[in-house]
Amino acid sequence: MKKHLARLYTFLIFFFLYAPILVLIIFSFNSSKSTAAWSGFSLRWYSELFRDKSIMKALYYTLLCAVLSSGIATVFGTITAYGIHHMRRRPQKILLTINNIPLLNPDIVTGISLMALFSALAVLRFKLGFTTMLIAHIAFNVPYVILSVLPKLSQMPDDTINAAMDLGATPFYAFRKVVLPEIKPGIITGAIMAFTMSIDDFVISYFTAGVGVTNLSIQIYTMARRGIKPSINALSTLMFVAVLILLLLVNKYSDEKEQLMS
Amino acid sequence: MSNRLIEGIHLVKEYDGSRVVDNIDFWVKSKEFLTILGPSGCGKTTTLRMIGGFETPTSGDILLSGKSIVSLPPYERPINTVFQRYALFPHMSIYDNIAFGLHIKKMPKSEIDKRVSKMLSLVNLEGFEKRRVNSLSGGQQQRIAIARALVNEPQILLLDEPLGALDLKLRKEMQLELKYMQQDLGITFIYVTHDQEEALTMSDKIIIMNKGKIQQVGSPTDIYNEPENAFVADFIGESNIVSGIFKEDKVVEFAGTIFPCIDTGFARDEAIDVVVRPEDIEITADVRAQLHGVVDSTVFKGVHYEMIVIENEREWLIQSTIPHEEGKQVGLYIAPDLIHIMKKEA
Ligand SMILES: Nc1ncnc2c1ncn2[C@@H]1O[C@H](COP(=O)(O)OP(=O)(O)OP(=O)(O)O)[C@@H](O)[C@H]1O
Ligand SMILES: [Mg+2]
Repeated sequence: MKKHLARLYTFLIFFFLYAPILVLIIFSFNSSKSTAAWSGFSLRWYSELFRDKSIMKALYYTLLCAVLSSGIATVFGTITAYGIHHMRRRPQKILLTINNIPLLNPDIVTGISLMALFSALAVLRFKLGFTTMLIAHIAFNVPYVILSVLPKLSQMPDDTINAAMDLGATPFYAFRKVVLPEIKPGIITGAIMAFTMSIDDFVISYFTAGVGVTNLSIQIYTMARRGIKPSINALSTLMFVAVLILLLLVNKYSDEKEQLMS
Repeated sequence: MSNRLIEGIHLVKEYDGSRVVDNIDFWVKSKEFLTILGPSGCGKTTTLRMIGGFETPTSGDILLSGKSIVSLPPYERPINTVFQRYALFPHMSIYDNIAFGLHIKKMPKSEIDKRVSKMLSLVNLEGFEKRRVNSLSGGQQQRIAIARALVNEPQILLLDEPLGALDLKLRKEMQLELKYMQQDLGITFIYVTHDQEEALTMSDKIIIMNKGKIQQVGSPTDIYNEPENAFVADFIGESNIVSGIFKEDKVVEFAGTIFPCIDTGFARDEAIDVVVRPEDIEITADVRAQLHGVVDSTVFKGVHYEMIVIENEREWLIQSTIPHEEGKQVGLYIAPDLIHIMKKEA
């Protein structure tokens, strides 16, 4: 009996989590414009999607922003994590707390404060546009990279870096040959997470992109305001699948690491 | 001076204001085997890390062949280290671990292969080249750490309790092996341990440390036979330590009795500590007996019996090959040259 209840409970949870997405996916293949009645399978909305110039432009900005921001954030985050790892305990704790604040901060606050910052900098001919959105994405991505790299650094046995230097390695060589391979899984996880976050973001982008630049989520939002069109479903489905694949990749990477460890 | 290969001068290390290494001076000759011996937390590892370049001394200097090296990074010192917790590179094979230093020196591959396999057979791990670090036991990892450092044939090798994870038998074997390699390769060893037996069997010179300070420096026989204070005497082996009074040259009073001894140079009626080793007290029934007591316990320890004799509420630890039953009245005799007199600790 207990077992059945547990099953039912699990089922309900998953149902509420995934039913909306399932509906969305199903109706993205609907041949009619209706979002309520099924009238046959079709890829009509998908082809419409790819013919829409503004959507393609948004896709371009989204991908460009995701690639650049996750790449840059990964480099910054890894270097910062390495620095934090070598700090004494007290300042390390303080920095980690500071690092965690943006993660917990509501996106809307981050978005508006970044916008405020950029407008304050407008005197220096800093206009809202792709660059400001990119900077914002880098800013909210760095903490995620730091959080995924730091544990790998502390998993390294004591004195690993010292041992490399003891054997004649310069700090840079030691980092490349000894530290980097050791923390690689953390770096990759961090990079994929940053990429996902960037694709996923609406609120912060909305406040920092300015006029003329839209990413996919802003695009969906604007389209939805003009009335629901099934091509939104198609676009959302594609984004969902992309993010899902990335998350599976992250999981795969953490699993492989665990297997190596055991 | 010229025969001092490496020298520490007034070395001090403080962490957050507390002195972990407190103004120590030492020097090592080339090809010497120096052991730093002391209880856990006395500052052995910290001293070694300053020599290796992983910690900067708070004050003081370290000279290598007369030149200061404190400002040199570890990778510019002709010194290699066997770390207390091995610090092997987990993602590399055993071969790559051992070859790491040789790679940096740009040694040809064939030469590296030769040296690595020679090192592996020296530490009794032939054929382990392709193994992963995580698949090795603690003792095996420790031996790889020794191989990884030794393969570079440094001028000075620092070893931080390198045999700590081995069982007794392997440990004895490796002690001999290390000593042999040290002499064979002509490398200066600075060896850290808290095992006094290991220190006594392997070293040319021993530094005994406690609470960051050097207690005594000397050869194993010096240290064993002539401990300079009660700490050393107690640490180097189980000893009977009692307070006494130095009456005059070659006469000392302790346990309420006057004893002839061979020490000189203390002040008349100076309060001193007397050390007598358990194997140096003779149980006797004849007139030579200086102290009288009752056997409290007798335990067989393999080669000898260990007895505790109670004399006037004092316990005397005695080792002898002849057992005496518990409760028996016995006399104790200590020969003059087996009484060691030490300055009282402040
Ligand atoms: N980085 C550090 N920060 C603060 N205190 C430290 C640090 N490293 C060592 N200490 C302290 O210094 C003292 C000496 O440490 P050290 O590691 O030199 O001892 P040890 O003689 O090697 O002991 P063991 O035999 O246990 O290895 C200890 O009390 C230790 O807690
Ligand atoms: Mg230590």
